[in-house]
Order: sequence, then C-alpha cells, then structure tokens
Amino acid sequence: MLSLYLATKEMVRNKRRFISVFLIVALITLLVLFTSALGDGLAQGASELFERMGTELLVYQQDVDFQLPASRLGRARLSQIRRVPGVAAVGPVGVSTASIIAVDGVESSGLDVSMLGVEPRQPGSPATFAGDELNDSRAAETVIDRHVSERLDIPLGATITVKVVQGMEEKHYDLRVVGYAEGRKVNFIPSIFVPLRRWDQIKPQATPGGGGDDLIFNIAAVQLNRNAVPLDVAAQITATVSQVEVTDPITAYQTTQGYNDMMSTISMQQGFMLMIVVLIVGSFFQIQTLQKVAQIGMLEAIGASSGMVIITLLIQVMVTLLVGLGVGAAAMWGMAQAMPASVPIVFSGSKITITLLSLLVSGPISCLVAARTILKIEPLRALGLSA
Amino acid sequence: MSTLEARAVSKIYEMNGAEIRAVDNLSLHVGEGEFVALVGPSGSGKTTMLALLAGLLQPDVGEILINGNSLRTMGKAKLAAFRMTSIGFTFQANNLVPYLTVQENVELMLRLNGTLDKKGRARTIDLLRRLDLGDRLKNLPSQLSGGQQQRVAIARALVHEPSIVLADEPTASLDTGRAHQVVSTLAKLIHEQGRAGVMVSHDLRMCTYADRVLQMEDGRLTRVLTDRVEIDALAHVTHAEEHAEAVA
Repeated sequence: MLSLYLATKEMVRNKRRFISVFLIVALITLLVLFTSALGDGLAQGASELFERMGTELLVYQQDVDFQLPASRLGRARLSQIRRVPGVAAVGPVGVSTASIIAVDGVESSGLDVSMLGVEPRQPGSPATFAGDELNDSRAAETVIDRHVSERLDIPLGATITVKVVQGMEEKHYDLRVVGYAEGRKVNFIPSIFVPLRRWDQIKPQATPGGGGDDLIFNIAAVQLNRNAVPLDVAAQITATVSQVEVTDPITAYQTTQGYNDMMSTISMQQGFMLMIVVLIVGSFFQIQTLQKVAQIGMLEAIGASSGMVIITLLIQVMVTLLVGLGVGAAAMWGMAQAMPASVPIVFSGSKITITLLSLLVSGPISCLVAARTILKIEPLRALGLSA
Repeated sequence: MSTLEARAVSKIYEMNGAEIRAVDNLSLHVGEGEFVALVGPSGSGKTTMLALLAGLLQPDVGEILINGNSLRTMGKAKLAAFRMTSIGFTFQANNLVPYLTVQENVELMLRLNGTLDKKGRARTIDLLRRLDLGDRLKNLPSQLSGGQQQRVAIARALVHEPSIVLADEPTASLDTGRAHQVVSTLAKLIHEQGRAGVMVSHDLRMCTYADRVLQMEDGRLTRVLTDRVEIDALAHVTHAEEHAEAVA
C-alpha cells in the first residue's frame, strides 16, 4: 500500500522530528491525565467515607445542614430508627480527630487522622481487605484505612499510639491494628476506625474517660431491606423519629461545606485543560499538514489520488498520536506509582477514556481540515508555480 | 503512438472584474519523438499552457487531446489516473519527495502505477546511470545539487514510459553548464524513446535542443520556428547578447 509506504518512509527518515512529536504528545497526555487524576484524588478526599459507607441512608440531627461534626444523636434514636419498616440495620458513626504519634512504641512522624467510632458488625463499620473486621465494642482495636497504612507503613498486629486532648490534658491511647480497610478520608484526612465504646472513651472531650451515660455519636448509618424504597423509608424515619433529617450518602457529601465550590473548580479546570490541549494538538497537526502543501501538490500533479494523499497523512497522525498517547499514559502510570502516598491520585476510567479519545480524534480531524484546504488548491499553485 | 494536441485552447481568469486571457486561442500539435520548446517572457501564459496540456487545469474554450483522448471528458479521478500512466512531469522546484532516496523518488512513479517489478527497478537504475546518477541512488534530495535534482526529476518523468513528457522551466535554478546538460539529456531521451515532449522555458539558449520553438506573448502564439538554422540563431543570438552584457 503506497500510503503506508510513504508514511513509514517519512517517519523513519525524519526520526528526530517524529520522536519530538511523540514526546510532545506524550507530555501533553501526561499533563492532562496527571492534573485530572489529582483533581479526582482531591475530590475523592472529600467524599470517600460516604461513597464507601455501603449504606442507603444516613440520619442526621435536624437543622445542622447535614454537617457531620455538628450533628448529635443518641442511642434512643437508633432504637426508633431500627423500628421503622424497611430498615434492616442501623449503626452509629461518631467522628473525631486524633494524631498517631507512635507505632509499636517507636515514635512516628505524626499523622493527623479522623477517628471514627463504629459499632462492630453494624452499618458504618468498614469491611477489610486484609486482617479482621472490628469485633468487640470495647476492645482497644482499630481498623486503619489504606491511606494511613501506606503513609506510616503499619503492619497488621502493630500497636499504634494515638494522641488526643481531653480537658486540659494530652492523653495517649494504644490501639492494636486488626485490619486494613480501603481509603475512607473524611474532609481529606485519612481514617482509623475504633469500636464505639472505646471511641467514646478516647475521643477529644471536656472530661477524660467518657461522655457520660448516654453514648453520643454523630450520625446513624441505615441499611434497608432488599425491597425497601429509600425515599419512602427516609420519609417514614423523618415522620416517626423526632428531630432528625435523612439523606443518602451522595447528597450527604455533596452538601458538605465547600464541596460544590471545590468540585466546580476542579471540573472547570479539567474541562478547560482538556479543551486547550485538544486545541493545541489539533492545531499542531493542522500546521504540520499545511507545511506539506508543495509536496502534496507535487504528488497530485504526478497523478497521486486525493484519497492516497489523505490516507498517508492520516496514518502518520494516527501513529504519532497512538505512540504519544501510549507513552504518555504509561509515564502517568509510572509517575503515580512513584508518587508518595500523601499525593492524592485517582484514576477515573471514564475521564482517561474521554481524554485519550478527544486527543485521538482531534488530530485526524484537524489533519483532514488542513488536507481539504490543500487539496482544493490547484496542484501548480500548491507547487508555487504561476498557473 | 504519442501525440499531444491542443485545439483552439483558451484559459480565462477574472481579476478585479477584469478578464485576463492567460492562454488565448492557442493550438499546437506535438508528434512522437518530437521535442517542442514553449518560450516567452514571464506572464506570457507558458506555465498555464503546460498545466492545460497536463490536465491540471481545464480550458474554458477548446480541448486537449493526448493520443486522441480528450481530457475534457475525463473526471478528476480518471484524469489523475491518466496523468499517472501517460504523462511524465518535471517542475522548476519542489520536484522530489524529500524523504525518499533518489532511486525511491524515481520508483515512486512505478509504485503509483502499480508497475514496480524487477524490470521497473532495473529500468530505474539504468535511467539514473544514463543521467550520471548511478552513484547517487541511495542519496536523499537534500544531498544533491540543483542539477542532480533536476536529472532525478527527469528520470522520474520518463521511468513509467509515458506518451507525453512535460517540463516546466527545468533549468530555472541551474548554472549554464548544468542547464545545457539537463536539457540535452531530456531531449535525447525523448527522441530515443519516441515520446512527445514539451518544455516551457524562459531561457532561449535551451531552444537549441528543441525540434520546434513556439513563442508566446500575452497568451497567444506569436511565432513558430521549425527551421534548425533559425532555432540555432535564436539560441546563439541570445547567448551572444548575454555574453556581451556580462562582459559590459
């Protein structure tokens, strides 16, 4: 096939130029994928806990605008919620902060974490991908999320020491790591999960040693029966349990303060970045094609068909893009592996596909637009002769 | 049979509302083994006429016939295919594909025709050797002089054994010695192989290699020289005038 012959010859004989083009496309791909992955990582940091909660509904105290720290619920409400038709199980979730200051007695660099109190084996308690789940409501045990385990390199069975402030005192508590859960950041802070009663003892509070007779937590995670309709059950909970509001996990994190502002900024940045990059790549191939006016004119003058000329150009553009995109995507993957765990990088399959497809389509379209312009020019004019 | 015929051909352009007759009612006939020079000052319509003969432009009036086939009746694709098989073309610049070697550039015509085989390859090498390019087969155009590039273009114009060979200012960028070498070789091959050849040139000295000289002015044919003595006189007068100018 003559088109393939000409396209290959040009690329082989102009290796340096084409390698430069491959690298430019690869760098552009790396840039757009990396910023997109960082944006998604940032977004996930705000929503991870809710996305992985595994429950259909969340119950908050009324009039707190679904703000997690502001909500306060007690055990009495849990019982009331459990009795609502359609509810399969309810679990309390308490949220506080702490710092991990040592691992197995060895002082660590210190990591601020969200310390979540959950009832073992109840909604809200995390599934683990290694080790055991929480089992005993009073045990000095913890399940740590992937971010914590990666950043401090904590082995299963290790004992971590957490620091909290209770009253005027700085208190240290030891917790044995029994399992690892997937990432569950709360407001960008990685999490550790502690049995609720233990959490109640060690959370930051005015008086050391526990919050009193009624166990106070922040929200209730509700799991529904298989056939229950979430909206109906939510309405019933609101109607039968006093001073609560019900929402689903997605709405819960979307109403988090600043979440929408952050997401619109990230989306706009990703959108603009993709648009600019597509335009740059498109213009690049358009200019590259327009530079071949004389050569195309000559080929047409000696009898080459327009189709052959176009296929030759398209082969070069597609090879350049495929190699460039492949190298860029591979470099992105390598870079993500090399990045420290503290850098939030999340690959979104759909965004990667959209990015790669947009770049893959922009090159040939621009090339075709330029080729159409050139092929309209009479061959002798294209050759710079005075026809 | 290699014949090229233009019958009362006109090409008219419009510029700022004014009608410009680039070629005006021009007729010519070039027979087998005949090499014709089309000469005239810049803007006389030489290149437009050559483009019409090649089917790169369509005349507004009249018709072009190659081996008895009218180009007017052919569509764009058929015309391109016809050009590919029946016409050899050299241009004054941008002749060669920059990333193909000398041999590959010449073989390109055979690839286009789908006739590249052992014989075609041998013919390519033989033609290039005859044009003193036997030691340059693997060189890229950028490694050749202007004259060498023109000779490669001539080889490409002849390798697929076309009926018609058209050359547009083949000596435009060459010194006198190289110009004579290129045109004499072109004329020799056209005569030997029985092609019908037309060369456009503003350099009257090159007319000495032509069998017939057609002089154009303002799109019209103003003079036809067929007599060898007259042709040589035209070429020598020009040469003498230029020499005198150079001495002065």
